Amino acid sequence: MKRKPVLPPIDRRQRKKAEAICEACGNTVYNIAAGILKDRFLADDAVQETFVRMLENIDKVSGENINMTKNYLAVICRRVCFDILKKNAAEAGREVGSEDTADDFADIPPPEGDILPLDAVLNGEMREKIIEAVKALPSPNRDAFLMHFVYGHTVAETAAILGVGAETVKKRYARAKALLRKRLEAYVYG
Amino acid sequence: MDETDKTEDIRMILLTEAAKAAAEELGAELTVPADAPGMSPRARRRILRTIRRAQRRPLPVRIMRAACFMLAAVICLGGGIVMSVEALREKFFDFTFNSNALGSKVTFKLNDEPHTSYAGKFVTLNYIPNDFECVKSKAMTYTEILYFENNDLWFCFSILSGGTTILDTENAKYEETEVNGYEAIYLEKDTRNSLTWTDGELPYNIYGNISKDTMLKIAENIAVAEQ
Repeated sequence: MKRKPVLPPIDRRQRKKAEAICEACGNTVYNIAAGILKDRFLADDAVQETFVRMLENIDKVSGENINMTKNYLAVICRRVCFDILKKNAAEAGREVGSEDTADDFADIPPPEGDILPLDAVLNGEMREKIIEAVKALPSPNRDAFLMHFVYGHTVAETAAILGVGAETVKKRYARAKALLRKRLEAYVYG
Repeated sequence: MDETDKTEDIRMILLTEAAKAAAEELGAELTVPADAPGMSPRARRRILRTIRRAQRRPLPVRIMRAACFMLAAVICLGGGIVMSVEALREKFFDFTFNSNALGSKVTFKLNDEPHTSYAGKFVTLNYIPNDFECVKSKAMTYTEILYFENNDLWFCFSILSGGTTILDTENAKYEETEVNGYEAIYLEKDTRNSLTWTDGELPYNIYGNISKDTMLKIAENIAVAEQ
């Protein structure tokens, strides 16, 4: 993927932050891309694209919490790699399946309000269960959930970062909420 | 705020905090094996270059550039207003092109008519009739000969050496005239004409089969280099 980077203007403080993130997380992002794409040159391109997308939302990226930043970049990188694979497959006349499966939108209606069940007891155990449930979400839904809920992106921003439509982001987010609720209800109500 | 709202806020805080912790744990699980090659230095430089390019230039530099541009515009405008068009053209012409370099031929417009000049070693002919090319030139101590041709038409310009110049007036039409206020002699013969004049220091001669008016125009537009 050789799109010419569209560079959003940043100031000196943001540039230093971006450079520090590149130094701290560059190899991790590269490792993810190389693992998916199995090609060094494509992985370089994917990492470049990942950091360009990060630059577009540099203020939402935590410069201090490296682990959260790594996860943020990993979400973007996976999405970029999937786009590259899709493009290469299309050029070769093959098809790559969608990340979303038909099952993803079947039968579980999204909760209308709370993710947490009404009777959830607010203690340390509940916290651990929530963490577990979030980590167990399917990747596309988890990415949309984290981008919107944790990193504070709007639906439109999330759609731009993940390279999907706004409706897709909404569906994945709703699905993530539904799955979380189901898991947490199972924990609370047995 | 009633109890329900407070409970709601606390639950939302718990959920948010737990979700952030989940994101952090997911990030912590992303480790790079010790034997992994890592990003290439070239790729790293490319990313850092991209980040640097994205940085907005500081405001003072932008202002300085705008100021320089405005200053240049004012100078050009002022120069255009103060100087005559011809003087400005001459200044600009001298700046952008060394018309005195040996062998330089320049074509320009004067009073909307196309003109050509030719730079010799000691003298520059600021007027050459159209389509004439210098096909031969010779320069010696304090003298120079330039020979121009245009198909069947030709003329030869020379700086004459010596204190006395002898003209062949046999069967020639003889006419006294002036070049830039100095005495000149025009001779017309069957196959060639000649114009001989001085500028108070050196004697010059043009001979060839071009017209008298053309010869006079050439003669009136020479510039001698300092020797």
